Amino acid sequence: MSAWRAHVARRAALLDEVRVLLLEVLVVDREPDELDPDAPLFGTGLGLDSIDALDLVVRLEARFGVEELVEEAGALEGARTLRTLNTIVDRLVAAGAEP
Amino acid sequence: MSAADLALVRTLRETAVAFRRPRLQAVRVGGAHAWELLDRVLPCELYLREGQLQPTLLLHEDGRIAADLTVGADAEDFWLLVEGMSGGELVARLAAEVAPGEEVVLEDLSASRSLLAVEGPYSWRVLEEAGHTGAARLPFLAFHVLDSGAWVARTGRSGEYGYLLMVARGDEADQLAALGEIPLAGPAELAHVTVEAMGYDVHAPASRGLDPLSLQLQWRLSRRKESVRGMAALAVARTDPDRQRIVGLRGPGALSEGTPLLLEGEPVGRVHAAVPWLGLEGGSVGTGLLPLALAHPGLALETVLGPVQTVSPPFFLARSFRLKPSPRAPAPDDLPPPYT
Repeated sequence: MSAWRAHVARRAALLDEVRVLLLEVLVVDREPDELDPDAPLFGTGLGLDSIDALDLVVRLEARFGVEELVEEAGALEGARTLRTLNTIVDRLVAAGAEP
Repeated sequence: MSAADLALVRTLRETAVAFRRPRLQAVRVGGAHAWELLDRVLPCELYLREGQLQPTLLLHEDGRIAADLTVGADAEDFWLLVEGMSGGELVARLAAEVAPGEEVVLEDLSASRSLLAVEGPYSWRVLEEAGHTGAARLPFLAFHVLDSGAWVARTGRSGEYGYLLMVARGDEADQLAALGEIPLAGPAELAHVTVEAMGYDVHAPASRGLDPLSLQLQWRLSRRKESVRGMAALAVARTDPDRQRIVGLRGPGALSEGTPLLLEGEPVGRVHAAVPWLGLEGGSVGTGLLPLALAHPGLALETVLGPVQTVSPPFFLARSFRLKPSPRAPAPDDLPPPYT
């Protein structure tokens, strides 16, 4: 498999898993593919709040074995990491997480 | 864009600028059956508390977007802010959906009200200093009549703190003057910052033929609203294996809308929107429209103008993340530059 195909396949698989985790946190009546990867997570129709965000981070760290997913880089970096599903996947990829 | 236009964009990212928003119009919906009407016509679930705003859309029958709509509720009425169709057109569309026996009052406010916007990390301070006390405490996607008597909503397009002011038509110049020395920007700057935030611009020509699935706007819809105009077409579109989705793009060259995107020499999509990137002289940021299977960040593509990378937006560092909107909060002295 070419490098780009492997990259896209890895991202797509991570995105699918993060969508499922997010739906567990939000408990909303939506299908995973309704969660668009660049839609803002906070303050919009998805309605993530700071408590949900903490719950999501705990679940992500447990699922992917990644430590300090957002804390390490501080509040600004944390807000950027959790801005969208894609920014979460960016961080997971950078941390070496595998689906 | 000219250098002056780009300077206004940078000013927005660093402090605040004001806009006139003539293409954003207001409609009031009242009466005993207002909620029933809107619930029947809108493709979202209406979960609104008093003073809240909810972004949604109006769709064409084929699923394409007809208008960008924000719904608000106060103690008595609903307020609709519409862009992409006029207030009069929205009233006509709603009136056609009123069922026999329903009591609904529809009022197009476009002849009596205008909307102004203030956006930027210090926009809350601009409003507070102009006498709109309480603006800084307004939660995101909320609106309120402030002590000053002004109708103010906290919502924006730039990804920074943003506010809308609804004022009497004819008072726009006085209201803008009351905001102080703040620069006035125009539609080009608003379109630019919207692309930087990967927001939705109903006026962008490239978006006119697209549906909310392609534009990543499903959060404004509810799949359960299958009887609402356009939703059946979207249900079919979801099953299309060849459908496309926008993804963030960044490249060192000048990109323009419609430029083909190539992967290993083969065309796979096109540039959907592009603006000059203030983080790199001569560079561009924007969105590309790619097949769903390829629409992920981290892909190296080519154009006739050079390489381009798919990335996760936004394309700026939002200072609003670092600022507490309070007149009493100390100003941080370590704010990062908005573009790096």
